Amino acid sequence: MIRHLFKLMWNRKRGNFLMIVEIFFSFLVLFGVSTLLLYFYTNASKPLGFKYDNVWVLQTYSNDMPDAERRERTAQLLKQLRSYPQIEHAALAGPNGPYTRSSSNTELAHDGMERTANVITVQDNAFKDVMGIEMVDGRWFNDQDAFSNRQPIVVTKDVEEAFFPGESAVGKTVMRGDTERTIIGVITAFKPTGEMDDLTSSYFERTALEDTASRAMGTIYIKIKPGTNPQFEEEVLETAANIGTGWTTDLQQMPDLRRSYLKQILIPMIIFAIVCAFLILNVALGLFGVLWHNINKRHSEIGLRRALGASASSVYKQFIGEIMVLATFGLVIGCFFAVQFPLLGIIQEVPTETFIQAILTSVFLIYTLVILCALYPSKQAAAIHPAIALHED
Amino acid sequence: MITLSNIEKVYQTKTIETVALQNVNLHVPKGEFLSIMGPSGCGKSTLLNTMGLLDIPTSGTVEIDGQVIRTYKDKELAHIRNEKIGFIFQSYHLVNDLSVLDNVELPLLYRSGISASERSKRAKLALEKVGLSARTKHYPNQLSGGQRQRVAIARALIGQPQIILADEPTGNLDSVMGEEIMNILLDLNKVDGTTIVMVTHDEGMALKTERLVRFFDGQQVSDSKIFDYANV
Ligand SMILES: Nc1ncnc2c1ncn2[C@@H]1O[C@H](COP(=O)(O)OP(=O)(O)O)[C@@H](O)[C@H]1O
Ligand SMILES: [Mg+2]
Repeated sequence: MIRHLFKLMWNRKRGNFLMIVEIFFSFLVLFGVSTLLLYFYTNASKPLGFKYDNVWVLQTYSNDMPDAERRERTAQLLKQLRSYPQIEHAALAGPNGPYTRSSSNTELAHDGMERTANVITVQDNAFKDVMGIEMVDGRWFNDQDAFSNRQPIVVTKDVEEAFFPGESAVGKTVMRGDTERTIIGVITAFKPTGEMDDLTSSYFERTALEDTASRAMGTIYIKIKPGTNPQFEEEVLETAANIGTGWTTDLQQMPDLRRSYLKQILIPMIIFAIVCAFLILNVALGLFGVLWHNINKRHSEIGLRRALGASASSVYKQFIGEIMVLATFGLVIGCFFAVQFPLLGIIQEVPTETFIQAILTSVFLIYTLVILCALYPSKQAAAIHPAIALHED
Repeated sequence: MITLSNIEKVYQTKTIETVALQNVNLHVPKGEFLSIMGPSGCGKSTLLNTMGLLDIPTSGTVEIDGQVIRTYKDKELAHIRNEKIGFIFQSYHLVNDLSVLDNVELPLLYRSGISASERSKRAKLALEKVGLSARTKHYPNQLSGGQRQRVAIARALIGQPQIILADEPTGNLDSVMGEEIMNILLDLNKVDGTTIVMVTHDEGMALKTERLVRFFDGQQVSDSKIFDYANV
């Protein structure tokens, strides 16, 4: 019977061309949306590696200030902040902390392998405590690390697994450009670019504010005691301002930064999904109409098949089967295009498995959609009385 | 082979009630070639549909091959139609998007346990029987009316039914083509012993059959043996 339906639909491909095209395009749209959703879902299901609650980000800007003064003021500010009982930890680091919309990445290399990783420079030892980073091996930085010529770094677990599978990375060296770095510690994870991002690898390097050979950092990450009065924000800003004129400061709460980061990703995605849903709804209505029309044109064939021994339920199954065959035609063409993405590596960020999952999801959804559209018209077809259908012409 | 007892068929529409058959008692013995005549609208098609289990009588019983039809379960009726009955229609009812061979194979699709190669072998044999071996790959719209009806006959006989019900099979054909069709039917009846019930408007065709029943207004009005049947 399946062969028969394929033959029948193949011979009717001209008449059903529009339906095949509609199914093809619906598939592509669904494939796009599901690739995106699966991509974000896969990324979001990987550990963030830090805690954003009760973390504040204090930025200082001091464009024209002499470098020495700037270093001195920053040290003073840190000291004052750490004296507040409301502040658990304060860390000086680069501007590219979590959700800051600033990012910096580079290639680490080992044994012919390369891996892209976020680089975060810390200028004291507190960042781990501010962000609640967890060690899995080795240790976090100490004061000597800033001056060590071993160039110590702390890497995320996936870097260790990539470069040193099955062994500890602690004590081993990797290359950044043509300089060597020594891994002193491994942490579970750290994804400063946010949960939706695909870059999971990161490493930290340690410099010192008092070392004029390295650039002075201007971002202070503050861990606030839970339950601190929000008005404490003003006090922190005032403290920064009182240190002297000529620099500006800006304080933001990491949960707020995260919210706006998510909004920036989710809003276009929701709009895209709504547009897609309307498109699919349109296609569904179109399919429904075309099926309805086709079935009405085929009364005589239905009557004939009944006379030849088809039961009502086999007529029903035939019509469902036909639309599935048509969908298969559209899907075969669609899949041909869809598989080019992973085959040609068109979007590098999206892994092959995500594309395959998206293809399978879209195929499943299209079959479900066409079956749903065909249920009612097919039921009508099955209910046609054979004697009347044969009588009509 | 077919026995109709006290058949009555009433069509109920919103506005009117049409009595299509009334008090019909008809026995068609195995192997008989029966023709049915009567004016348009007198219930001939309804009668054939009732015999062919396509339509359910309002009252009365139908007996096919010794089996009284008591259940009107759709699946069972479909099964009996498929196994025992072949239909031929005035307007052929071929599926235009299927080749001649695929059209002929149709009844076997609704029968279980027949392989694709077996289906095609039997379809070719059936087409040979109606003299259309050379047309298996053609499509219905590439054929003349007479050829189309021959395809329809091949389709009716592929399942080797004991009964063929033909509703004005020559109605759309000129006399030469009609003659051809008639000869095939006569052959089927005489050689294979297939029981045939044929509705016709053509007195000449009817006289070539074994027995003629006339209908008027849903009722049998005459029933006569045609004596020179054996000599045709
Ligand atoms: N499905 C139907 N609904 C209502 N009336 C019908 C239907 N089929 C046939 N009839 C009526 O039943 C009568 C017999 O029809 P039919 O058996 O087709 O006659 P014939 O084949 O002798 O021309 C006609 O009056 C016709 O209008
Ligand atoms: Mg009629």
